[in-house]
Amino acid sequence: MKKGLLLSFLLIFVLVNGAWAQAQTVTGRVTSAANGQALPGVTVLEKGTTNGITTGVDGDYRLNVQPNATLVFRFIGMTTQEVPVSGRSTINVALEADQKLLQEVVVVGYGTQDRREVTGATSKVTSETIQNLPVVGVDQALQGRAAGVQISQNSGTPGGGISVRVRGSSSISASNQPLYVVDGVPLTSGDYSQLGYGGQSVNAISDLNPNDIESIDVLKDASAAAIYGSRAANGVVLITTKRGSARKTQINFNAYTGTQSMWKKPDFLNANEYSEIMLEAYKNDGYLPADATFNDFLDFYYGGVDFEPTDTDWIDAVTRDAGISNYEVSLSGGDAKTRYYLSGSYFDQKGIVIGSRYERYSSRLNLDHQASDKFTIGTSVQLSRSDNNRIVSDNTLYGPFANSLAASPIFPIYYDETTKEYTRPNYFYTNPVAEGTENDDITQNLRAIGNAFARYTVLPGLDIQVKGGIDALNVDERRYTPTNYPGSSATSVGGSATNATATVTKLLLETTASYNKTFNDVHSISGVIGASTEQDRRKSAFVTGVGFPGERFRYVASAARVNSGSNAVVDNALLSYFGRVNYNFQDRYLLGINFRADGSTRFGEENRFGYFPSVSAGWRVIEEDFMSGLDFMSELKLRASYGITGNQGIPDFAYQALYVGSNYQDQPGIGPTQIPNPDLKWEETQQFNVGADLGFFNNRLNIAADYYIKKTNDLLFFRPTPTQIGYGGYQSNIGSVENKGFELAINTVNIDNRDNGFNWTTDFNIAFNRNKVLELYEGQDIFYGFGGNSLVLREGEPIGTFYGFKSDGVYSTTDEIPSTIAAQGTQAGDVRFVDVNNDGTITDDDLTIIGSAQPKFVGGLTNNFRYKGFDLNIFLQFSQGNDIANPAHQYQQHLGNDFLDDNMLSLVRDRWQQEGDITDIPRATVDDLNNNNRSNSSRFIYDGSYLRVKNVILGYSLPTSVTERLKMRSLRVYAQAQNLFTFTDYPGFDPEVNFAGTSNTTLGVDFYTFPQTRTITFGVNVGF
Amino acid sequence: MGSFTACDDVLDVEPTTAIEAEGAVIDFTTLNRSALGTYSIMQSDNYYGFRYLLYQDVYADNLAHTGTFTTDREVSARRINASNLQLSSTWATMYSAINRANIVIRDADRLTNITDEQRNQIKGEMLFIRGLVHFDLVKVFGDIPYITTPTTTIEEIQVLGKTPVSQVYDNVIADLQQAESLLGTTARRDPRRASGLAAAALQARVQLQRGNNAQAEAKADQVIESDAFALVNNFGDLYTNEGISNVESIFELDFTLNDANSLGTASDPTSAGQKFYLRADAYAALEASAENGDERFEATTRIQSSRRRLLKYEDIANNADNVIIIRLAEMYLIRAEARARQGAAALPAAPQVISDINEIRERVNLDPLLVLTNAQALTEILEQRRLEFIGEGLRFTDLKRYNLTCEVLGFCDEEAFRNLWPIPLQQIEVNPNLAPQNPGY
Repeated sequence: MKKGLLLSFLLIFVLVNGAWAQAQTVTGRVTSAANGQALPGVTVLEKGTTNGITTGVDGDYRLNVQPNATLVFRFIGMTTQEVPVSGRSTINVALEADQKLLQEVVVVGYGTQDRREVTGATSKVTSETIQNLPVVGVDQALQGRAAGVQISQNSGTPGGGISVRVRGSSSISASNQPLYVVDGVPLTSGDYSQLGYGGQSVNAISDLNPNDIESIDVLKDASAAAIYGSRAANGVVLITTKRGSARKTQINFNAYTGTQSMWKKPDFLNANEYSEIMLEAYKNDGYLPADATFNDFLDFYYGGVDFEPTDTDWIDAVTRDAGISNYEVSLSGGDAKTRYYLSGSYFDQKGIVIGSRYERYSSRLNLDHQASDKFTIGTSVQLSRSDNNRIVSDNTLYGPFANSLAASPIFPIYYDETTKEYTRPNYFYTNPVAEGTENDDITQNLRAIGNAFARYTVLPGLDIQVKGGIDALNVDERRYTPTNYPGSSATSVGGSATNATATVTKLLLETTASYNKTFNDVHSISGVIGASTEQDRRKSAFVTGVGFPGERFRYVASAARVNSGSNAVVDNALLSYFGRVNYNFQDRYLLGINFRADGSTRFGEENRFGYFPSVSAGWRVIEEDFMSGLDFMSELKLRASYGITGNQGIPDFAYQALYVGSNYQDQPGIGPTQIPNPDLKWEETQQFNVGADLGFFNNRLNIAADYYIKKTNDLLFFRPTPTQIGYGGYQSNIGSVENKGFELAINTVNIDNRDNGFNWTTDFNIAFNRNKVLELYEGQDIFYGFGGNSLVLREGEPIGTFYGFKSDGVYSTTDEIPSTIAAQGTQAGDVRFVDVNNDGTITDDDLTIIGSAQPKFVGGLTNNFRYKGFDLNIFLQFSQGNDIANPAHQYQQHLGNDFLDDNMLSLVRDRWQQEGDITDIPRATVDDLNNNNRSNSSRFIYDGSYLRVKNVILGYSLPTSVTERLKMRSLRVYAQAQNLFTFTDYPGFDPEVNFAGTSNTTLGVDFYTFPQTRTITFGVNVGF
Repeated sequence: MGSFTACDDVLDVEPTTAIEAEGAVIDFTTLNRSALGTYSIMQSDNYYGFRYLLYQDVYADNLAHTGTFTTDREVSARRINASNLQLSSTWATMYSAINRANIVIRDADRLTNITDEQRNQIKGEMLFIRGLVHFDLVKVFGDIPYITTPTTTIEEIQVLGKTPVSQVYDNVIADLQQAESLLGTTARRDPRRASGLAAAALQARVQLQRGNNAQAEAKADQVIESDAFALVNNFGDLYTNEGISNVESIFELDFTLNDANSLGTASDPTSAGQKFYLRADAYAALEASAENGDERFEATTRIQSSRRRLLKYEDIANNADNVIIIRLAEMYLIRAEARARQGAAALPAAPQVISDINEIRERVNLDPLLVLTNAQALTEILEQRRLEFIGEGLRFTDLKRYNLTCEVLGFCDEEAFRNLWPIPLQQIEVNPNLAPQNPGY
């Protein structure tokens, strides 16, 4: 009904518009005041009407107007001029560059602000920084670019999940990922896969094409983010896509293509070395006599083998140099009334591990139309499809890469090269080549992200806007596992196929009113209030069939038995009211207030609405009279803010008492699943921020510094109960986490030589975050990770604290071993575990903290050079002081332990072999009475600090004289290298790693994780 | 303006895969479904669906673990740490079954629109489950809390301490006696749900373990003489016939294609993962007996890919093999053992003892025995139990009852504490009333 009213309102408007009469013709030419050159594409508008035109190639225009009209000349980057016609028939205009527009515009929640007016802590990254990078998603492109935004890629999985932490981890159980908002519409993020793929997740953010993005603004402190209320505790990433402007159509064509390869190949034993060590272990423990040969070992271990032992490099067998390419074309332009941006792109990334590939097709149309000078409508629509050939990753029995590290080198890939009959080169694991070749694991995302808005200017300065948005994601997954290789997970069922689909939709409807007014030239007030509803729905279904006639039948339709299936719908919704007011006195004193009330279906009946206020203030000292002598300073602003944000990333219906299906005898049964907690609510983060913005030498040196204290209370916590009550606990709000830190961003123009065109700029950012768990339920430690206790959450320690036994080298001689330790079975050549509690034995009581995944600082350094047509961009990224745990080394350095037959890292060549050997690598033993290979020991904790030349781009733009002859506006060619060099002591494959993907609490753990690649690409940017 | 986009009813969202507890159980149909939900918990991989069941043999000398999980490794090496997460999960699952049983009992008492017969049936089944699970707990953990009140809200959360073993046994017997009388013992029921005779049979097992041999004998005798059950002629059929058609089965848990366990995969050498194969010694015992004609060898194990695979749960395609928890063969061996234990060791065993043993031997094509002393009979019974029930969850308690865990498992002197598993460490932390930890851990 109300929508109907709005439409009829709109209709009247159009009719009224048509009634204007026209009387005289004005012609003229628009030029740039700076150099007198003609300005094509300038909007010339009769003020108060929609009557307008844009200037032609020579800056000329012709327009019929009322004799008493005023002409408005608008051009991007120029100061708008208004000129009364006063009966003249020729009006020539010279436009000045807009100094104010040179100021950076910052996107904030439900609006924009000039950088100088901003009182919160935000970071901005623009399209120039992220375009042409060979990355799938915007989150990857942000890495190292914004101070205080720590991004970790976790693995080299194409299209894989990325960990993004804005000012540290604030939660243990709820999400730690920021809220993404695209053109005002919150984006569905996360992993909606229903099939298991080991640790690495997929990432709904990757459906968004990074090259469509104009800018990314990260809201870091509470004053900036509080307007997003119950979802803002982890920061907010505001993404603004490119829009058209009133000018002649510009066509851009961008393409790059290149190759990715492993930047570091792990060094494993060859077959001879492997055989020697295996034999040694079995001899040492008396399983084989001292004169046994490797054939004796094969007989003992495998009962003989039915192939000729060989020397296979399994890593080579499953990795490859993989192509990556991207092609896109965009058109943008428009006139006074209608502006558009249209793009289409194709991205293709093969993984360096066989069987993996990510392809994305996307297109975007952003359209703005000015129906009158009071009424504007617009829309943004992106459609995309991605096809992701996935492979099972780490922490699994079925991953091609993981299994290639475990496979024994003595096995050939095939029993017979011609029949391609696969071997099973490990006792526990399957053939890695088969896993990467024979299975189908295909995920297809269909994504539509769109919004439409209508804005009406009620009074000068007062706008009302209605916006509707949708984000629809369909994830369709197909898996087929054949039986044509030994050990296949589908062997027992005769082949297995699954089709799973999930449809995730988000609907947004919001109304906002914004007001901007300056009183007496000194009091400037701006504000916005609004209300919105957001409804999310997750639908999921899957069907599995087993028993296939052969490998050529790969869909459920051919299954002998369709043996499982399910479907479900989960809804949640938010009802919100929000507002912001900014007051600015003489550009000198700034005050901002934000507020949001969120009603969420996730909160208990007692806490339906959460309230999230913030306040901030700024003092632009530079405007004070006493600063007038300090000409070298161009900006000095002090900022402070305090506010409350929330995290509603808690499970749906967690507050209710529920019964679920619980079947027996193929009859429907029911059972209770959880203890209700009607008091359940959001996590609440209080954040205090102080900062300063400094500009020197006419802003050639800019410094932004921030200090913050961010304390999160009422953590969503599965409060443990004695399981003897039938439940392990219930969802409640207990505990707190603190992040304190300091961020610094420095931008400099080092050289700007207009004479020879040499220009050098530097952007540097660094962030020091200190994460600490302040309070847990009754102070109890929470243990988790491999073996159940390789990580600990403990009061006073950060999230991601490694726990285990301290090791201190290897006992060189028998005499060194204390008698009480020797009584536990320890021999010379065994690892010296530290007896932390000095009771003479090594027991669980000696477990202690052995490392932390939290870095001391992270940051990035970008240097840009320009000379004539050349541009060079060098981007370094670093992380210092973080540890990495690699529990996979218990297998990769097993030395015969526990009857494993995995291959080993070549560092085990330096193992202890005889009395007196001095080394850090223990002896070869099967029985391993000392438990040398316990996974949670400091032996497998490494310094994960690194400095990475993340990106280098060298480009050359052809001079205008050449491009004009080619009928082009611009032409640039470039070469780009990603992960060109990495400086690290980490002995694994890649220091930027986490087997647990985007996990909240498991950080910095490497477990057979797919490494990142070095990517070299060559590209071209053409403008018409 | 708020009303333009917002109306409060957007926040009225209901779950679709669950219903609110209030109003979930309102009549006999829903009460019965709730009872099925209790059986469903017992199917968990943590309990009879996989690990608790196999651990009774893995912790003893019948099965061994091969794989990478430290939790399984600790059990197989008989070096369990109190921090073992599998034991913690198993403990939680078992108490979850108890809680569900208690909830159903309360609901059965509350409902006024059901008949007494219906109420007795449901309550009897739930009391059987409550007794069974507590017995399964006490036999491995020793003193444990005996829980008879349900928890459904924060206010109902209890932190009861441990009940002494003897008291637990008394309570188990009381629950089983009540189950037996509520369910009645007149006819055989479908063994996939608890029956009065199942309650009687379980009493025989509990009393024997407790050393109450006369009562054990009486209950086993009652079950055998009820003539509701018969030994299956072909031993291998025990593991393929399911439900009412398996005449030997007294109580079993039903698994189906749609409701699978993990037992088939657990001993399948063709697939990857954590595996449980026969220990060499157990295999040798079966093989040696097969030389005398024992049919159980072929029905129990086979060498496949050089692994000693357990065949009792052979359905690797669906993992739908039922798990037999009590069957008639055990009643014969309980009656024989209880009688032999009541006689003097050196004296000849009673003819009934020998005939009960021979029932088991002759069924699998072994020659009958003629003369044994009571001591020899007990040895023979233990051997028959091993050959008969390998993989069926009885071995560890058998060795305990025979006081052989020192000799066979090495739990001597300072290691004797390993006759009990540790109370899961986390549980003592969350509920200090569970302290002290079992000695030695």
